[in-house]
Amino acid sequence: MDDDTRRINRIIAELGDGFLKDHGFTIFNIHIRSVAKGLVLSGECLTDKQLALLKKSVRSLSLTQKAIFDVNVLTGGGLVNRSDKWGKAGKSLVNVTNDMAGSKLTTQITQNDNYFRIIAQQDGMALVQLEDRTLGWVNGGDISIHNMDLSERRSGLRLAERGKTLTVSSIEPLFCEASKYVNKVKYLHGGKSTGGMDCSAFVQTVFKDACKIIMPRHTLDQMRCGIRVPKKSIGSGDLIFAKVKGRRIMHVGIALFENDGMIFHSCLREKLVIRENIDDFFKHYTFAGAARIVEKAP
Amino acid sequence: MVKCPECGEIVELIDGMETGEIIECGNCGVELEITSLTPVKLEIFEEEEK
Repeated sequence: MDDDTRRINRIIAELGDGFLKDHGFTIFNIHIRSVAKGLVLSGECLTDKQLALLKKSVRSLSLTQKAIFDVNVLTGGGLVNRSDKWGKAGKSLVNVTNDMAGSKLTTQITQNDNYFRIIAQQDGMALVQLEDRTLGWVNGGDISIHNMDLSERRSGLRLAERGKTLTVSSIEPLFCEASKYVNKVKYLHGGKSTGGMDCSAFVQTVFKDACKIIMPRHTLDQMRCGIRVPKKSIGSGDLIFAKVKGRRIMHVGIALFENDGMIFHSCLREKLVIRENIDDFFKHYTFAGAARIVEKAP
Repeated sequence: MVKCPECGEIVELIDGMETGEIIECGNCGVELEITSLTPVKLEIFEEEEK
């Protein structure tokens, strides 16, 4: 083993230990192989931030060989060939939490949701990855587990993609679907059901039911989808991202332009899914970006 | 042209972007907030807990 490889391995071990302390569990399997162009770091980690930290740490080493990164970020790129076990919600609403102790509600799954991948099972709990690539823990008693291959669980759904829009026959269904929740469903952080949902879960639910498009679970991940649009070019169906004024809390809603600009969102302030004039919206939120996920077919 | 404060790579802004917008460094994936447009300044954005 050369000196560069030894130094990188030390960084990988130190980072992996640190991530374990942060998350309680992590997936940080990075391997090094030597090629003509340098050293390739390949494998998988859990989050974009872990990969960013790995890159920063390796670059600070002043290596004699070039470091080439080929790392799959599991919450962004999906888990591949890890397991043939798939789960379904076994009751009307199943909580997905950030750790085995259920400290924080990450999201929720219902019996209508598609199959999700079982990553690991431990002490009556299961680590799962949902179709939107969210990772979290569920109580093993709340789900049913099936062995099946890919062809059996095809859903006809499309994943929202980075840097491109998806074509739809009409964007009207987005507003029909969004309207179903207005003034009826309350805001619930981490919630994703008619019993309560947060802003990103509202966007996710509307896009899935109206356009069969799977959006990521979290606001900042939704911001990475589609193409960025300047504020002056926002159109109906675009996502508007904003920060709560004076805070570093991200928020998202769906724009609708009829006579006036409107936004559908699960509102932190009103604790309810609402349809609001966009000027009123920006009295409480600061614009942080806009993204176009879908475009009407020509 | 402006450099990512995390990894030092060039980050490109699209026309019409405003102060306060959040963008992603295409190299390291970190979220950055545009804190100034003249000159362009970026700061690492970390969301606080809701």
